[in-house]
Amino acid sequence: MKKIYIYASIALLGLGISSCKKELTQNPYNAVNSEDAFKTPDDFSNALRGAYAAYRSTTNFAVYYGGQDGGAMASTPDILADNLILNQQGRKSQQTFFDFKYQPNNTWDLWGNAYAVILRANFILANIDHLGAGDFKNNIQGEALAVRALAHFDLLRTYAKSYTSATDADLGVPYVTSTDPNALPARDPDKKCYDLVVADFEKAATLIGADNGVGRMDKAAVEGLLSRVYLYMGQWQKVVDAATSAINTAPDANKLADTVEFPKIWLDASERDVLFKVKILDGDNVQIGVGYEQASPAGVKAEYSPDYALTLLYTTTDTRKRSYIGQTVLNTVKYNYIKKYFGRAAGAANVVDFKVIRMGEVYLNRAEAYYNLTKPADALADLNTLRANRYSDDTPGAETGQALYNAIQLQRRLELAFEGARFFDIKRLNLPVQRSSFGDKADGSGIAASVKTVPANSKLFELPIPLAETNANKNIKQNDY
Amino acid sequence: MQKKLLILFLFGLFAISNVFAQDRKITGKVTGANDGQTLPGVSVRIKGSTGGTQTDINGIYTINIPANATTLIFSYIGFINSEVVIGSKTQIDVALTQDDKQLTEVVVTGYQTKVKTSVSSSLSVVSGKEIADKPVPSIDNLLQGKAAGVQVTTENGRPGANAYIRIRGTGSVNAGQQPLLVVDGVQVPDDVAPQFYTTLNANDIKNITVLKDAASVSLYGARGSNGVVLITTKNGSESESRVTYSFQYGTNKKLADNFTLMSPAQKLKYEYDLGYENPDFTLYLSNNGLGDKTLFDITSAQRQAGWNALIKQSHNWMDDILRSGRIMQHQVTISGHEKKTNYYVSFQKYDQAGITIGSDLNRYTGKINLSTEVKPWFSISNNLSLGQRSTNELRDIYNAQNPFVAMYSYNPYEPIFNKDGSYNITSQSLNVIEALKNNPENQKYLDGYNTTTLDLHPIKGLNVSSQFGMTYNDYKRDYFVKPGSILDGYIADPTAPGEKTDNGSTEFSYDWVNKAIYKFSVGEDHHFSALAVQEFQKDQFSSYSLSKKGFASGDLGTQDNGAANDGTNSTSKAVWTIASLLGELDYNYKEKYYVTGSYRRDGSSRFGADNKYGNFYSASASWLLNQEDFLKGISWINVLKLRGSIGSAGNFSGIGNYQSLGLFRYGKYNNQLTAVPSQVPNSDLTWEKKLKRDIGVDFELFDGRITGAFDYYNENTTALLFNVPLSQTTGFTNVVRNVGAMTNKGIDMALSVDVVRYKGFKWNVYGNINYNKNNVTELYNGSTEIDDLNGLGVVKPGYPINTFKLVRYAGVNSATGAAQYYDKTGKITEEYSSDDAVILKDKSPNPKFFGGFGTNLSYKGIELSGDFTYTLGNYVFNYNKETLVSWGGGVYTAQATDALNYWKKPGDKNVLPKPDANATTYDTDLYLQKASYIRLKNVTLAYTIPKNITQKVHVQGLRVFITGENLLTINPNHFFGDPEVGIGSAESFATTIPGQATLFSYPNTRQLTFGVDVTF
Repeated sequence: MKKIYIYASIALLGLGISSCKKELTQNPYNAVNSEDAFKTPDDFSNALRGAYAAYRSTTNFAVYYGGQDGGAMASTPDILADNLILNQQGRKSQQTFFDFKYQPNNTWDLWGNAYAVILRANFILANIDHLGAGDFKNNIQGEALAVRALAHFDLLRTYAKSYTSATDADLGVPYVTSTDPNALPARDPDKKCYDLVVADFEKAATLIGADNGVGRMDKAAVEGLLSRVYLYMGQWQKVVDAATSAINTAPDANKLADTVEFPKIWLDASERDVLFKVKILDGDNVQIGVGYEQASPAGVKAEYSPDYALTLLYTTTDTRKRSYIGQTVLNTVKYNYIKKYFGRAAGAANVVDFKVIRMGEVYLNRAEAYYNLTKPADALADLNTLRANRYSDDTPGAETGQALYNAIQLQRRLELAFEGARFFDIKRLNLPVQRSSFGDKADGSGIAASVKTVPANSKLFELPIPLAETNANKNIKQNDY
Repeated sequence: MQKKLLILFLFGLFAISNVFAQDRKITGKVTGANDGQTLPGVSVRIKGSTGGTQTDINGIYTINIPANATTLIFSYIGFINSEVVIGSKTQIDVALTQDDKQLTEVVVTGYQTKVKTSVSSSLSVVSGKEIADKPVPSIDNLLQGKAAGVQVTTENGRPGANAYIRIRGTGSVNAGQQPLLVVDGVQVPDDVAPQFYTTLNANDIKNITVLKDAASVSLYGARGSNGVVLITTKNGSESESRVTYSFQYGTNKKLADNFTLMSPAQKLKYEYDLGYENPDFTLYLSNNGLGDKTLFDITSAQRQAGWNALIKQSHNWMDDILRSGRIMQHQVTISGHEKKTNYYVSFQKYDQAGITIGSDLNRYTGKINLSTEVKPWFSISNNLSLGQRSTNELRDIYNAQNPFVAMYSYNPYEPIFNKDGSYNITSQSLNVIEALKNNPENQKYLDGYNTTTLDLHPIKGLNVSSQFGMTYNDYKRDYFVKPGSILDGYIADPTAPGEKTDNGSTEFSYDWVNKAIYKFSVGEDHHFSALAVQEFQKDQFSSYSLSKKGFASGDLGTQDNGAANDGTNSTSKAVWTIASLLGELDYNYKEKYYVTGSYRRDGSSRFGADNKYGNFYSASASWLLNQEDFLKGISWINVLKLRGSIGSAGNFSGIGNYQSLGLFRYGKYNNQLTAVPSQVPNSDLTWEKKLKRDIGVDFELFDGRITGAFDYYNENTTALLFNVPLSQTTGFTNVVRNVGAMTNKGIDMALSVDVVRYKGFKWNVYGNINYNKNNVTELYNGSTEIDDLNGLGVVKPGYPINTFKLVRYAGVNSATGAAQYYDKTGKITEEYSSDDAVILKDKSPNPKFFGGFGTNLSYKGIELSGDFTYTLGNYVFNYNKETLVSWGGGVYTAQATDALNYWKKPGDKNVLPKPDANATTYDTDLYLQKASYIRLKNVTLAYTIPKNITQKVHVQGLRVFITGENLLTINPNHFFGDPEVGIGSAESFATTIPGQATLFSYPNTRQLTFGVDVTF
């Protein structure tokens, strides 16, 4: 009797051991192994949307098109320039940028965020031959190339010298095309990087479809972005070619917005003007507007207010003024705040799409290029087209010479204010940052910026590469910090 | 020691004797043969019958015996049974002889119980008595100061707060640092253990063994390296049937501050001096026809009038936010044994109202432990415990949503309500009193375990058992930002007001242990015991999170009332397994020389494919010197044991469940599916390894009046898990790898002395101390220093973990009042740069010494005990001080009077810098403070009413007591605020480093409770 129990317990023990072994391999319920990630066309569509999603945010980063406090394409390049003034009632986010006090341990980590985008594009490109030849493959490949090029371009204009001031020896950023997690690349030459950006965009333009819907790039978006890249490079005829192609190939829904449509853009109620935007929805946990302001029962608390001098440049008939700038009373004091990212008509506060490239800019790119090609009539035509669609009481202008150039640059500043262009425009033109002496209040009083000027081509125009990178990768040469 | 514990344990607990046919009565007294002390709780039985009684507190018993009774048996744990022939006697006094070999005292060790003297490992035992009847709901906190080398730091004063347990120093950087919890033989998953500590009922615990060295923890292999806490719950075997009802009631309140906030007049003057006009003053001006003026361009009479108006409307926010907490507890326990069946049943209801509204804990716990001997060679037991806990939680964040930020930071002149009766949102843009009502958070935990054990002992010396244990944890959280609440105005969608989140998780784990123990002897002198174990554990976790917005009212908070999804609905699942084989062999020669060896092999689903299995071993030896002839003549040495151990253990708690795999995860973009690379593969991933060495001595002297232990240990952790940074150009930021090493060396000492043992009077003092030196020895290749995520300290070879790294403050420039700093090279500068932070040698959150001491007095039913805990030599970064004693930047909020001590004129020294409303109060070593403290953690005064009185009302035992918690704190370094620092802030720090910094977490409280235990 007893023996039976002994045998039974030994048998039980043996049973236990044998049944455990297969339990020692477990796979997650919410992920697949990397080797299994690119098998069907849908896998590629998913991965491509994943690449766009990284523009918005990743697990580790939200400092790119979906950034708020830690650096953001929506605000940082305006904070680094003359468009904004730190509001004393805010949380003083990004004050390091406003005061030009950034250091490698305290810089804009666009670096990590942009390379996360690039990795996702590179995974698609590395596996692209799993797809059969055809339009689907071409479009996916074209989009992935464009995604990769745009991220590299944003890295270049942030961390490297302007193309027009760089020598052949000046460093850009590593132009990454592999998916090796252990790679330790060095920086490629600045000018070579621009060439690689152009090459990826140009190839993308030949592969990509004409309309991929909202939130993804298509032919017009790529051409529009190319016109921007060429503008930064000073290659005027190519600007004209790309811009013209963008204007001609843009779907009807994305043509230049008029004064009626324009305000709807910022509520995401119209796709006019928008060639490519990064979609940000309520459930994405990204509130890009918080980088500029937060509504409160006491009034809107602005992080940054528009510089008073800038507000004076907008006339009352300028549709952009109403779309971009709001006014609030907080603790009995009037403040201006940036309204562009306040939120949609319905939905969570401070959640809107980020507009990466708009038709307004494409016209301005072409106008500036025509001007530099000494085709002032064409330049003026583009400028007037834009103005006619921005001012409710517009009469065509007739500027010539320097006045024409100044008018183009003025419209560029007014059009692209608070969209992440200003710092880069000053930089590409090799100009200094020149801030006004006005304060943060709506009437220009209040506390003014402590740093008023940054000389042209100062080292401050090339942001420090994050310390985390130079610590992990000894091949990266830091900028002059 | 053991005798003392038993006396304490049985003190006041008197069992009912079964009444049966009786002829006559016998009385008598039972004493210890060696010291003549009376022995309470000795079992007195009639041979051949089940009837019996126990001696009372004075060692006196009375027993009714039937005519046919011939012999009485006196038995008591630790003593040799005595059988006395009754004959015609009516009084039988017995002197019991202590079991000389001390072989009866057993301790719970890994997977078995062992005779205490035979154990060659380092462990501490805390008896159930030491933690019973304390008005603190979590068991981990009750271990504070009780066991040498076990550092227990309470998170904060929140009802049900957990504690950080560090056994012999911090053993890891990124992996878990808590010891493994094993309850009645069931390994509790690490993430569930904190819930178990708070949901189990401390009064159900028989004892807790803390395993510290290799010989004891390597039995637990890949889960053992941080030490092991073994909890054993009570069974009915010790007593006759009895029913006990306990009741406790108490109150608590915030510990008083050792600083004062500025009075309204002081604060207004301070604001004026700094050039700041507050909004209430602006409002006053506009209400009094001075709307076009400011604080600074009115006459001083006008200013004073305005100030007076503000002073008049001032109030004390602390009084408005806080309340007196309340603790109430009811417990019923029924235990005993019937023939061969033991039972222990308990039920407890515990309620605690915290020190502010919105902070409560309500708990129900129930327990049944049953065991029965089915056949002489076959027994079965089952332990079941279930508890449900509901808590209302506060935000533990650094802003005005946290009442403990608000109570310090709201200006006294800011009213709670506006004139129109609405809540004043104050200068902090939120009214916490409104938020406590309208942004409630409730958490519910259901925790339990069940373990069923079949025990066979088919032949002499062999014991085969199979134990199937299950643990269950269910967590539910509700957080409602009610529509129309102030917070709703900030975060919500104006078209869909209100936001409700319901989230939670379920974790079920089973642990199946099959084991065999065979004890045998070869000849007279060679004794063996062999243990073989096969174990398999599987853990299944799932979670959910639902969130909706758009609610009709604050009373309709379930998800079905919401208008729209918030887009964050999700569920998750995860599984991990661990399979193990274990063998242990004990050998002793003449019960004098002991040698033990063990080996364990673990395989786990968490480990990488190339490192699936791990081997762990230990070897230990001890020498019982008092058994040697040359010491046998020395009567005052009862036990003298030298022991040593070496071995390895692992820590798998820091590894994510699927961390070794290269993965793509899914998400969404534009509400469509995305797939993104999420993890770099590492097929070599494995557990952290710890090599542990220990030598020690245990002693009992003068009939056990002096007992103690001394240990020196040296522990070396390798293969530390680090998030090794990758070049961000790869698109990844890091990968978890096994790199890095660190050591912990130190000394544990424990001593207990019965200063007086005289008749009924007993006075005991005890104490323990730990000295630990932590040293990081290696980081990953090429890295010399890793900053912690809070930006306060570093992990750097050659320094203790988390050594502070801060900019050094160099006082004020006495000519200008400007703040000065030392730069990296030691030069004085007025420019603050975080680059000038340097490592502050010998300043870290790790204490140099910690431990506890206390005393127990007992005399004729009166007991008085006091328990102190202490921590010495640790540093804490005091953000509370930085906030309340700012350099002017804090002018917008309330400030402590210390902030007034600033530079006013050239020549001022030892003052704060010249304040400026726009100045940043930088993190410097000015706010790094030594936080040594000694705290009177608990005082209990109890009285057991003599049995002869209570029996008249059919009560076997009646004990009343009062308990005070945290009655006294010695703060030798004048730490600003409470020097006992735990979590700092649950939400505002990037990473939790216990004791690193203060930041307005839930304050510790002082409690007074009254209790009564009635036994029938």
